[in-house]
Amino acid sequence: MVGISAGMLGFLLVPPLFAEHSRVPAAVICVLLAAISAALVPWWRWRRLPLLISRNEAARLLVSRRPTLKNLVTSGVDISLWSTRDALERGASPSLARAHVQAAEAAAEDLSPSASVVPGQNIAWILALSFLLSICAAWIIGDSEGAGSGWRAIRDAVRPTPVQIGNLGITYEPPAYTGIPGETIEGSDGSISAYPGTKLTITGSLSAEVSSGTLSLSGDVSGEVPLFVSGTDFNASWILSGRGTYAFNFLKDGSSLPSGFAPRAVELIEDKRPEVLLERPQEDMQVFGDQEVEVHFSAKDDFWVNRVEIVLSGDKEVRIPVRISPSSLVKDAALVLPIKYPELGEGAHLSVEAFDNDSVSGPKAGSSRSIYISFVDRKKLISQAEELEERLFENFITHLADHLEFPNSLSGRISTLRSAAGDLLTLVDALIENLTANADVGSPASVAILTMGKGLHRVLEPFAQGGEDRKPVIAELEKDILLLDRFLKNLRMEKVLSMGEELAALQRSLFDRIQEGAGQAELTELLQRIQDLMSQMMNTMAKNASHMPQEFANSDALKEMPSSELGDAMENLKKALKSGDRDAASEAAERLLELMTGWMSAMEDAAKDASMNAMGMMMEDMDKLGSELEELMEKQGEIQEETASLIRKAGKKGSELTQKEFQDFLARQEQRLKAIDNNARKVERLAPYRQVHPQGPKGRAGEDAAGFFEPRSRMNAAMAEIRKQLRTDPARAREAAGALEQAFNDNYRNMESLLNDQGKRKQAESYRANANKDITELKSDLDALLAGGETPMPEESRKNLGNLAQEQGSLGDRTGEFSKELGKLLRNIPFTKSDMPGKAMEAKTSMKSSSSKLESGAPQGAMPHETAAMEKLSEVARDLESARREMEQTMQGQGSGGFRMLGKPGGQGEGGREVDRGRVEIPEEAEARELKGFREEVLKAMQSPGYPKDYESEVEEYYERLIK
Amino acid sequence: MHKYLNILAIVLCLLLPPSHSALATEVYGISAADLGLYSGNRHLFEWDIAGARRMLDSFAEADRSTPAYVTLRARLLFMEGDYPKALDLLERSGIKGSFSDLVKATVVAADGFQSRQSEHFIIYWKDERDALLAEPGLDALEKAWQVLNNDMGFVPDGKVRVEIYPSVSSFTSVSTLSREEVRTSGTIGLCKFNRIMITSPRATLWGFGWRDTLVHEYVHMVVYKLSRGRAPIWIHEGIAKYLEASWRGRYGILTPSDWALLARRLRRDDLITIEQMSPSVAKLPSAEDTQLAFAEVATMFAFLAEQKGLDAIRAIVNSLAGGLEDKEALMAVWGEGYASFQRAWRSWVENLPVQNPDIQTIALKLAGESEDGEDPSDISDREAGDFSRLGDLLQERGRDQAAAKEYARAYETAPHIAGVASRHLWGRIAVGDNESAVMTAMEAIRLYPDLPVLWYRKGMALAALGRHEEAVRALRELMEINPFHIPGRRLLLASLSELNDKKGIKTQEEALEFLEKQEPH
Repeated sequence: MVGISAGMLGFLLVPPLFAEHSRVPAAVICVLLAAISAALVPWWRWRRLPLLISRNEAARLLVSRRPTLKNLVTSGVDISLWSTRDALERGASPSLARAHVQAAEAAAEDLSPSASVVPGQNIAWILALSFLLSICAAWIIGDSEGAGSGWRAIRDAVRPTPVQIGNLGITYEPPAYTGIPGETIEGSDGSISAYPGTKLTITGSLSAEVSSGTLSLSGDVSGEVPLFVSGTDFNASWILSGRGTYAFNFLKDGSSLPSGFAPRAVELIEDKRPEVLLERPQEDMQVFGDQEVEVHFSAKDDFWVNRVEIVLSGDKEVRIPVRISPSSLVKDAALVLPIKYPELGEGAHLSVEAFDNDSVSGPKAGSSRSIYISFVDRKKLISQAEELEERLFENFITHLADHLEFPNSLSGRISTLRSAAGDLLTLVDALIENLTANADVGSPASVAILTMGKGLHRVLEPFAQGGEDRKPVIAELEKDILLLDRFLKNLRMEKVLSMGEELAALQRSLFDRIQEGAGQAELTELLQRIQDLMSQMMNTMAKNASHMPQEFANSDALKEMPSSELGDAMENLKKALKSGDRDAASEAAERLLELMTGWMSAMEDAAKDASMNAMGMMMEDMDKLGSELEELMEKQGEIQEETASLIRKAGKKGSELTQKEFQDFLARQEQRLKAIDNNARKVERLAPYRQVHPQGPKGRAGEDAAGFFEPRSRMNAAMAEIRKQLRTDPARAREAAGALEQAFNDNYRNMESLLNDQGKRKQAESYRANANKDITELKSDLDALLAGGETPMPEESRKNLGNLAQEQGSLGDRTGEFSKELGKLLRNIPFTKSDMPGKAMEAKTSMKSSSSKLESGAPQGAMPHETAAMEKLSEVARDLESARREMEQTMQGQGSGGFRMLGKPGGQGEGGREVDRGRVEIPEEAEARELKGFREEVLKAMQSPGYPKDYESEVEEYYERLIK
Repeated sequence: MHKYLNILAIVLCLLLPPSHSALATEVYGISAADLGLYSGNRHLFEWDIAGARRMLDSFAEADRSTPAYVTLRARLLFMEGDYPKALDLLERSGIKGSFSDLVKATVVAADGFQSRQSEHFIIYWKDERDALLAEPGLDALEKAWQVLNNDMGFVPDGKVRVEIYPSVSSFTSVSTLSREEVRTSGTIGLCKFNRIMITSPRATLWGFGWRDTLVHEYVHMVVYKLSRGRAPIWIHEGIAKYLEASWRGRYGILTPSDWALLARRLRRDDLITIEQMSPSVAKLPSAEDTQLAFAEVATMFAFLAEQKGLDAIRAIVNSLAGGLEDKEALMAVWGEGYASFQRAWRSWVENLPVQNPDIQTIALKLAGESEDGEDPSDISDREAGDFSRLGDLLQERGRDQAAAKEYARAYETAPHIAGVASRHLWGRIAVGDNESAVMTAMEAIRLYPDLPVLWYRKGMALAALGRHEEAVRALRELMEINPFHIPGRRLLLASLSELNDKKGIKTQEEALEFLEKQEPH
C-alpha cells in the first residue's frame, strides 16, 4: 500500500515539475517512483517482519502453508514459553512439556520462512506495480518523443554536453632510416598504425570551445600530450614509441568536459631483421691456416642493410667487418685469412651478420646459418706425413738390406726374415692408413701409396707364409724405396713452400692490419711472427737443400732468397712502427709484401718446374717407348703378312685354293671327330644299362661315378678343345688329339669290362678300331699342318721362311728389350695398374714360338703365335696410351706439380683459396732476369773472404737502382 | 778507350818501326809523345814489357803527367805485377774507369800473396794451403820451359809470374771472366796481362789436372809472345792443348770422353767452327761445347804435327808474328787451303778407333755448389740411376754389402757412366773383392782419367792387395788432380811406408802434417 501510494503520489505530483518540458519525463519519473516504491515496500516489510511479530505470530506464519503442523508448532511455541512452575500449574509434567517442545522444534526445522510467505499475500502489490508499469509503457509508446526528451531532460539535468571532434587528420612522418616519405591522412577515423619513431601529428575541430585539452596515451607507453587549441581547432604531435590507445580530454573553466571521442587504437608496425644467406662455403670445411676462405653472402632488409660482419666463433669470437655499399639487398664476398686470428684456436664457426640502419631502436641484426671451419696446420701435417714416410722408408731400406745381405746379415735365418716381413706388413698397413688420411684423396701420391701397399702385400705375404722366392720381394722393396725417396724429397719441398705461403699470408695480414689501423703492439707481434717464421724457413732450406728435388734445390729461386732486402724492409717497418709513422710503416709493409710475393712466385715456379721436369722426362720416355711399340707392331704386321703370303705361295692355286684347302681340312676333321664320338657311343650302348648305371638313371654315386665316367668327360673336353684350336692353334689341337686318343681308349676299357657277350666284344672292338683310325688320321693331318702344310714348300719359299724366322726372332728380342725398358719406366709411374711389361714378354714368347715354327718350315704353325703376339702388343699399346693420358691429366691437374702429397683441404669450389698476393705489382720478368746475373755474382763474391772492397759500393749502387 | 788506343797503336806502329817512336819529333801531325804512347801501348799489347818500359822511360819529364802516359805507365806496372804501385799511380792522377777497377780488384785479390820461385818462374798464392802447390807447380813449369824452349824456341824475358787464386770468385774478379762463364766453360786457368792465373784445385769439387793446366797457360804465353799477340783463339787453344802434357813427355793428350764427344758431334756434323771459338772458348754456351772446341783444335794440331811434324806448329806461330792471317799461316805449312786441311783432319778423326759414344762429359763442379760427393751424381741411365740411388741409401745406413749389390746391378746396366763405375768400385772394395775393384778401376779410368775418386779407389784396392808400387802410382795420379785429398795422401804414405820409400815418406808426412794443420777443426 505504501508503494502504491508513493507511485500514485509521484504520478500526481512530479509531472507538474516538468510542465514546461513535457509530460513524458514526468510519466517516466512516476513509473520509476512507482516501481521503486512497489519494490521497496514488500522488501521493507519482509525485513521488518521478525521485529514486528511475536513468536506465536511467527509460528503461525510459518505453519500457514503446513496446516498439519500447525497445532504441534504453535503449541510447541506456546509451551516453550512456559516455565516449570507454569507447566506444573497447568497440570503438565516438565518432561512432557520438554518432549512436546522438542517435537515442535523437530517439525519446525523443515519449515522455511520464505516459503511461508504466500505470493497471494503480495498479489495486491504486484498488481499495483504491473498497473503502473502498463500505464508508463502506454505513455511511452503513445508519446515516444516526448518520453525520450523527457529522459534526456532527466539525464542532461545530471551531465554536461560531451565535446565532439570532427575533421580529424593524422600526419605520419616516419623515421629517416626507413626512407619512407611523410604522409597526411585527412578524414581519418583516428586509428594509428606506424613504425616506431614515427612523428605523428593529429589535427581536428571541436564541437564546443574548450580552454585546453590533452591527448592521453595508454598502453606500452602512457602519458599526456598537450593539445594546441585555437578556437575550436586543435593539433597535437608526439613520437610513436609503443602500442596502446589514445583519447582526448578537455577542460573548460577549470571543469572537465566530456569527450565525444572514443579511445582509438595505436598499432606499431614491426621493422624486420635483415635476412642473411651464407652462399659459400656451403658446408663445414677444412682449410690451411694460411689459406684464405672466400665467403660469399647476401643480405636483405625491409629498409637498408647498413653493416655486415663475418663472425668467427672459436676459442674467442672475432668479428670481421665487411665493407659494403649499404642497400636493401647486399650481395658481396669477403676473404678471411685464419692465420690472422690465432686467438680462434683450431677452428671456428663462421656466420655472417648483417645489421639494418634502424637508428630509433638500435640496429637489428640478422645472422646467417653457420658452418664450421677447421684450420689445418699445413706444416704440422707435412711434418706428420714426413715422419710417417721416413719410418716407412727406413723400414723398407732395412728389410731390403736384410734380403740383399742374406744370409750374411744379422737376420741370417730365413725365419727371422719371414717374421720381419710380417712385421713390416703390419707396420705398412698402419702407416699407410695414417699417411693416406692426410694425403689428397685421389692424388697420384695417395694412389701410388695405396698401390704400393697392395704390391707389398702381394709379394710379402707369400714370403712371410713360407714362400721361397725372394726376388719379387726385393724388386717391390726397391721400387717402393725409390718412390718414397721421391715423395720425401717432394714433401720437403712442400714444407718449404708451405712455409713460404704462410710467410706471404702473414705479410699480407700485416699489410692489411696496418691499413686497418691496428695498434702498434699487435703489429709488432705480427712482425715478430714473420721474423721467426722466416728464420725457421731459412733453417729448413739449409737443412734440406740436399734432400729436396735437385731441380728445386738448385733453382735460382731458392738460392736467391732476397734475405737482405727482406731484412731491410723489416728493419724499416720496425723503425716506422716504433716512431708511429704509419705511412712509412705502410710503405715498408708493402715493400715486404712485394718482395715476398716475387720470391714466392719464383719458388712455386721452380717447384712446378721440378715436378714437371720429372714428369716431363717420364712422358718423353713414354713417348719413345710408344714409338718403339708402334714400330714393333708394324714389323709384326709385316711378318704376319709375309707369313700369309708364303702360305699362299706354297699352295697350288693361290690364296683362294689355300683357303679352300683349309676349309676342307676343317670339314674333314669335323667328320672325324663326329665319327670318333659315334663309335664311342656305340661301344657305350653295347654295355648293359644296369651295369653302366647300377642305381638307375641318376647313375653311379660318389667317387665311383667320378672314376667311371671321367674318361668320357676327358674325351668330350678333348674334342671341344680340338674344335676350338683347329683354326687358331694347330699345335694345341694336336695336343688335344693326343688327349682324345688316351681318353677314348680309357673309356673303351671301362665299357669293355662290362661286356660279357663275346659277340658284343667283337663289335666293340671294331668300333674301337674305327675310332682309333680316325684319331690317327686327325693327328696325322695336324702333324702335317704343323710341319708346314700339306704341300711341300718350294726351295725359295723355304729360304724366305728362314729369313722371316730370323726377322721374327730379332723382333722377339727387340720386344724383350722393349719390355725391360717399359718395366724401368713404369717403376717410376706408380699409378699404372696394368702389367704391361708382362704382356710385352708374352708377345716376345709368342714371337719366339713363331720364329721357331718358321724356322722349321711351318708357316701355318707360326700364324697363331704371330696373331697372339700381335694381340698382346695391341693390349700393351692400349694400356700405354691410357697411362699416358693419366700422366697428362696429372701434369695438368697438379698446380705445384708432380706427386704432391697434400692437396688443399678447402679447394676453390669450397671457398678456400690461396692468399691473394696480387696486391703489389711484381717487377717485370725481363727486368728481374737482367739483374739476376749481377746479383748472383755479387752475392757469391761477397761470400768469399777475399772479395774486392769496391764490390760494396757496387752493391749499394745496385740496390739503389733496384729501389729506383 | 784503351782498346781503341791499342788498335791505333798497332796501325801506327805498322807504319813506323818501334825504334823511331820516341825519338821522332813529329809524324803526320802526331807528336812524339803521342807516338811514344802508341808505341808503348803496342809493346804492352805484345806483352813486350821490356820494350814498353824502354819506351816509357824515354819520355820527356814534361810529358809524364798526361793521363795517357800515367795510364800507360800504370798498365806497365800492372803487367809487371806491381799492382799496388799501379793503383797508387792511377789514384794519384784521379784516373777512373774499368782498368782502374780491375787494378783495384787485383790489389785486393793479391793482398797477402806469398811466393816461391824457381829459375824461370815465380809462383804466388794467397791461401796458406796452396803453398802445397808451389813446389810441384814450379817443377812442372821448369820442365815445360825446357820442352817449349826446344819445341817452340821460346825463352821468356825474366821470370814468368804465376798466380794461384784460392777461390773462383777471386779468380773471376781479376780475370775479367764472369762466374757463369767459368761455371759453363770450366775455365780454371787463364794467361792474361802477361801472367798465368789459375784457381786452386781446392776451389773445385774434385780438383783438376792442375799442373797440366799451369803448363797449358804457359803455352798460351809462349804462343802469345811468339805470335806477338796475333794468334787467334783456335790456334792458341789448339797448341796449348796439344802441348799441355809435353812436360811429362806426352803430346796431344785427349781423354776418351773428348774423343767420344768429337766422334759424336762429328757424326752429327755439329762441330764448333773456328769462328765460333772467338773471342774465347770460355764464352761458348755449354761445357760440352767448350770441351768439343778443345778436342777439335787439339786434334787438328795433333794431326798437323803427325802429318808435318812439330816444326809446323812453330812455323805457324812465326808466320802469324810475321803478319799472316791464321788460315794463310796454316796454308803455308799445310800446302793447301784451310778447307783441304779440314777435310783431311775430319777423315783422320773418322778413321780413329771408335770410342763408346755414351761416355759422359763431366763438367767442372765448383766446391760448395754441387750436391755431389766424391761420386758424380749425373747418371743419365734411369735404371742405373735407380740402382745407384738405392745403393747410396743403403751405404748411408752402413749396409755396405747390400749397397754393393745395388751398385753392381747399376754397373751391369751402364758401366760407361762415371758415377756408376765409381760406386761399383766402392762396392767391390766394400765386399773385399779387390781384384775385381782394380779391374773396374782400370776400365773406368780409361774412360775418365780425370776423375780423382777412381784413382783413389784404385789405390785403395791395390794397397789392399798388397800391390803397393801400383798403389803409389795410382795415388800419385790422384795428387796430380787433387793434391789436397787427405785420405789419398794418408793411403799414399801407407803404401810408401810399405815400400820403405824414405824420401817419399818424408815428403808425404810433411804434406800431410801441413794439410792437417790447415784443416779447420
